[in-house]
Amino acid sequence: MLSAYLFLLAVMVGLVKRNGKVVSAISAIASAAVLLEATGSIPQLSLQADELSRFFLLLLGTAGVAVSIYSYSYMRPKHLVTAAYPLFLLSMELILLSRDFLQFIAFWELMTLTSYVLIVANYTESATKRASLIYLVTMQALNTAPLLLALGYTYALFNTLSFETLKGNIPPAWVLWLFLVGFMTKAGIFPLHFWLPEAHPVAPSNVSALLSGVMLKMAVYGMLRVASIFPNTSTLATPIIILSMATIAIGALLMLVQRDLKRMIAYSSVDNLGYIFLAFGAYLALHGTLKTVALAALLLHSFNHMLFKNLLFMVSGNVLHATGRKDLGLRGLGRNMPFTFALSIIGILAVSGVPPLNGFVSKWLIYQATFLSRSPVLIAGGVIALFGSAVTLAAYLKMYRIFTGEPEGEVHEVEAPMLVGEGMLALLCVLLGVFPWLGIKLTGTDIGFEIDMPLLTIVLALFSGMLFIALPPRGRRDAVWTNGERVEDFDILPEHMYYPLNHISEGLSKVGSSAGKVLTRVGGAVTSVEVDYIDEALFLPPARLLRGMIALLRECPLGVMIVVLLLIASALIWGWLG
Amino acid sequence: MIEGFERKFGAVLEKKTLGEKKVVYAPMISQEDFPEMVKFLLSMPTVRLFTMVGTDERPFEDAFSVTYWFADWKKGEILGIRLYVPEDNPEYPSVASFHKGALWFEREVKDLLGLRAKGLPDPRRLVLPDDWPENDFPLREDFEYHSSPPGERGPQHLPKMEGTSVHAIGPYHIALDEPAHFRLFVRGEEIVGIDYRGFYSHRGIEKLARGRMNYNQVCFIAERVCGICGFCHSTAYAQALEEAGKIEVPDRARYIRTILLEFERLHSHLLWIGVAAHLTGFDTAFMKVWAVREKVMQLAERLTGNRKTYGLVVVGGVRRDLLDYRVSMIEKFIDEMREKFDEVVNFLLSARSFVDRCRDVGVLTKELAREWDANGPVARASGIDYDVRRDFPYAAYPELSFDVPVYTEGDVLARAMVRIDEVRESLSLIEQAIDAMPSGPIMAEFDEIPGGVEGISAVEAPRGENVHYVMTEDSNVIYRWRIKAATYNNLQAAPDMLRGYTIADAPLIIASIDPCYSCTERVQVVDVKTGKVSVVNLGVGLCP
Amino acid sequence: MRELFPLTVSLITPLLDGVARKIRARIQDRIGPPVLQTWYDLLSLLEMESIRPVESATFRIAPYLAFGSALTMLFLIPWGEETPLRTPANVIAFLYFFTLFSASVVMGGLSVRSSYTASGASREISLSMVFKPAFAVVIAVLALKTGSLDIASIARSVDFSPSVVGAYILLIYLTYVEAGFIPYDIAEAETEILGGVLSEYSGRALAVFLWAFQVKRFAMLWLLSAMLVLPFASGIGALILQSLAVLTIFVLMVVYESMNARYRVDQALRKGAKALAAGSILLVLAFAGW
Repeated sequence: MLSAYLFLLAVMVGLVKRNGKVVSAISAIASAAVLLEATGSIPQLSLQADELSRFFLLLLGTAGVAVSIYSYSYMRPKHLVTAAYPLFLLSMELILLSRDFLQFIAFWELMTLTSYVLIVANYTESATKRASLIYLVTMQALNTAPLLLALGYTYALFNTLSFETLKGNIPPAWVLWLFLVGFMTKAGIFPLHFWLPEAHPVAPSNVSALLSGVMLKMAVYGMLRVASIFPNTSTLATPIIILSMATIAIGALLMLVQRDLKRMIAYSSVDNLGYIFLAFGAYLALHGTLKTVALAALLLHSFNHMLFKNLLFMVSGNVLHATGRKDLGLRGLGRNMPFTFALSIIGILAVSGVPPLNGFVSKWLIYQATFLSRSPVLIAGGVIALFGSAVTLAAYLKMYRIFTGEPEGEVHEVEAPMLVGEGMLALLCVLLGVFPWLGIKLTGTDIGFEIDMPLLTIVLALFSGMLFIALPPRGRRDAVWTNGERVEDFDILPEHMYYPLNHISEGLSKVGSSAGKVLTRVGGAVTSVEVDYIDEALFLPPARLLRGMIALLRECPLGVMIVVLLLIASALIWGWLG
Repeated sequence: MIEGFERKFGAVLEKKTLGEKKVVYAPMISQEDFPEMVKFLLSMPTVRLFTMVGTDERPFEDAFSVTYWFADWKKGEILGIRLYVPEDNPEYPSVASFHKGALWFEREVKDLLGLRAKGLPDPRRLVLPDDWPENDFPLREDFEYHSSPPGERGPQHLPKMEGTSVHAIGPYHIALDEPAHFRLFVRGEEIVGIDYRGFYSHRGIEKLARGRMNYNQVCFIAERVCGICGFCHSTAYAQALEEAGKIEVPDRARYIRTILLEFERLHSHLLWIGVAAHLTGFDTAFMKVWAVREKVMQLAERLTGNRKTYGLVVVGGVRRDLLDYRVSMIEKFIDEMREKFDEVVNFLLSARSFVDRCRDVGVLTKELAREWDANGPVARASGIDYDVRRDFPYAAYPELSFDVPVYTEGDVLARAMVRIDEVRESLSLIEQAIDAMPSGPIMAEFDEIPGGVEGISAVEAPRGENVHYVMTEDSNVIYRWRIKAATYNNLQAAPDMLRGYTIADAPLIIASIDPCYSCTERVQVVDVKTGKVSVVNLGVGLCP
Repeated sequence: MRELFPLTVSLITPLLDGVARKIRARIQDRIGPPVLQTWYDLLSLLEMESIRPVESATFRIAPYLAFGSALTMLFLIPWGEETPLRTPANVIAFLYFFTLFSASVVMGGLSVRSSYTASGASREISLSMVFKPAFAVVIAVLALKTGSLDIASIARSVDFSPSVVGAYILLIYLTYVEAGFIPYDIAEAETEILGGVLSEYSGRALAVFLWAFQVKRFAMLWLLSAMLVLPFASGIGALILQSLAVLTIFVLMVVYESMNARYRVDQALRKGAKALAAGSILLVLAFAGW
């Protein structure tokens, strides 16, 4: 438990000294300790955790090390951020180490609150205020509350909350549904994903990375834990698959029309969590080898998503750091930020599932779990997943574009620690892509076969490389041929790419927007808030409710609110326990 | 038109009759009523702005003149309104402020003569190069043809529209056969705005002809106005001069002119159909259509000695007769053509991908076509039933029967269908002309043409009306020669056709008006880089 | 030995393009260039300098990466009995190496700031967003029917039920589309956007790109031929039959190509959506057991 003490040390340093560099350094060491403890490389320090927890600890440790190194240069000591950052990591570690649901839910709540503090870091901006309030209220209403209800009833039924003793019991279906709703909200699964593209982009980039890369995975862990305890979880398979299909499609299509880099990456998280839940659905629905394949796919994609999503969010942090902008209209950054550019290419290709990078391996497993399942919904899920994959590449090419072309202003490459943090993840993206067995071994599953990626990579590298060496492109430098137009004008704006498919996506958000307006008028309850995206219109009732609550809570001091929410939570627990 | 106009405005006007159904009026007192007069004329459904001529009449009238010519295609009447513009205050009321079709006319007069239209909506430079100095006007009598004044380069581009980027077709582009610069303001693939800059092929032909060559030599330079419809230009020029000089053209010459005019239409339309196919990537149809066109070219060579630029027209008739055995070649050719043409057209139109690319693309509504004074196949595809051959008959057309195909869709496909139908009509016209061809002389005898007389005449070129206006001077030279090619109007309408479509459609839409930039831009070879005007060296009847 | 097939073929693809030019010429009543013309073109381009419109490593590497990924696609398809690179679920790998090919083409194009390359890239990706899922539907039907994602075992175990026959027809269509024949050569349209993504490439880099496109086209055709031949033939006969099938398909496609005009991107996407709808119906049929 060395890592936990280290994290606590970092929390104290953060509270007292408010020094971002020291906190980051200690957090990095603590995360490294998590890795050591989880792998059990030092027996004295090894943790009491099962395979499932161990895997997610590895995920947390890897992300923690990379992001903390990055934070060394990136983190600005703003209000409670320096203390909340290690506490956030610690809360996630403790969630994974919990052996019963009571600890689990307590640390879960801690995670939610610390993440809120981190998201609200730039509290002077109205967008941040709005988004973080949406986040907090959504989490309390749709994440904590259902979980508490489910746990309360579980305790009432079985008189225990320990994982060990609960195992094999069969709770009623609605309890499972409550678990599902709670974890779906956290994971950002349609139709409860609306908070995600709001909250993730406003946070500082290192936090966005942890939110997307790790915190969402806690929900995956939670669901897996529930599935490992309650055998009848498999009854949820079909709804999960259908919802994850919708998540992939909505996430992908809305990713395509975003003009803000971080918002786009956030929608891509929605999309990727759809993949993970699709694999989870397959895991619940299938039997035999394919069940193992689905589990491997689920775990590996969780890990891979952490790798490239953290990388991409951190790269977006580099861009924000260097230019102060995060819109996709930027151009020409690659010239002055060559390392950031190279790292982002790896991230882009990995998230698009292009071989020989890690995204491909887990997607390859997902396709096997779906296409070979002989189940109609799963096969449809596979087709949707391939569609999502194509759209992901399309959307991320807009991110690629911001690095290409002629530079428009002076920018400088970011500090070395930021690049090192990103570089570690990029390296892992490549390694896990080229050597798939590494990742599969990491998941602890035995699928009995693997793709011959090393050889494929050799073939690819050999022929590309040989040709490049044999026939290198030689020639003069000359200007782009623009027919005499200014080169800045002679281009296609990012929001206009992919005609006419961009119209479909735009139409989607417009339909959502007008439907939202009509419904707002009908409801008449909250008229001051605009609805911008279809997703926010589709699940209008909860959104309306939340917005109403936000309007109510806007005047309420933060401390009071937290106290009230905690009181409600404890009252609920005592209610059920009593 | 003339009658109604006279009834309303006759009292304040000075009238001059040019010929049967052709008159010019000049307001006697002020220019105030002028916009009213134009509005009155254009309110008639079959009246169009025919051409506009700016002339430096300072040597004998002590002022510049601007003449707007209107044509009533129902009655076959042509009416001109002449405004005298004093040198010290070179301004006149603008027509373009309420009738779009006059825009380029007024911009051109501003460039070449320095006459300003009050209320001109778009006063940017049109004809002259970007580095031409402000106060040199090449068409004025005191401007030397050879002079090349130095100037500063000032771009004439429209600024980019907000929220768009620029996609350029031109100045040199694979889909353009001649230089032209369409700057498309796009949202991705969609065109939302257009800026056109052309006149890169402006050669100063009108100035070249002024006082430097006799009127018969001008026939040959007129033919070189355009590489495709040159014969139409030389015919239109000759007709205008024949009208000014009251020369009666012999019947056989009229028939020979008709046959060659239709030959020109044949090869031009076939060329266009091939280009349209090529622009949509349909190279097989392109090759097949051009193989058919080749037959036309070869026959033209047998008949005139040239594949193109026949060099046959002189004032008063034609230079060479069609020999009888060659006439029989034409008869054989017509039969062969009919069969081959039907075959390739069926092949082309049976490709659904081609038809899909042309349908509902580049739509020009009838209203817009009227506003821009579109003509030729462009107008006929937009439901305007106007054809110079029928409505202002010339050559042997009054004696021949033919249909004028009219479509109402206004899209690229309709323009293609008009041209396809016209090819068939042309074949029948050639056949009729050969059957009915009289014998006799091919050239009229006439005395010297007096100075100061005017003539205006139009020819239906493959792409629309070519209007030529001539004003003579003593000793067999012309004082003012004004060419208006069909593309001059149609090209102005192109932005309205492009807006709302995609950059994939743009080359096809631009091509669908069958633009002929040389015709339109006629008038110094200017090297923009050095600002030097190179001289076109012309021997008699020789190609520059 | 089996590794040599893809390598040999990459030398043959320009010849195949020469054949295509000859066939087109004959259809257009022309004599046409010699069959070796594409090779001559490539060789002369390889001699020429590549103008760099921008200082960018991606711009320079893209053609080579495209070539490498196109060649890797060839390694994943059965050549008669042999598959040069055996790996499970290789049809997914094939599809994703194809994605790598598209990605490198598009990234090469987008590394320059030009309206022509940007339009080309945007078109290429728009098409892939509709036609890749259509491809996925075909895979789904075949995987459902055969329980495999391996090209050779799919081909060897298909029964020709209505849904499978439908999937084959769709596969032929998609091969035609993905091989970039007119009317689907939209992303490289010469007369509209001056060659699209390729418009800023010249000399040697252009030659490598063109070559990569030819290899990719061959890979698509070879996949189709494997799917068509392997259900019926085995041994060395299968390889010979596959080669004959590829030639026949190629000639037929070239002939069909020269009978068509290019689509606009929205028209092509509408066709793609129809293909997707047809595929979905096939999938339902397959579930129903037909």
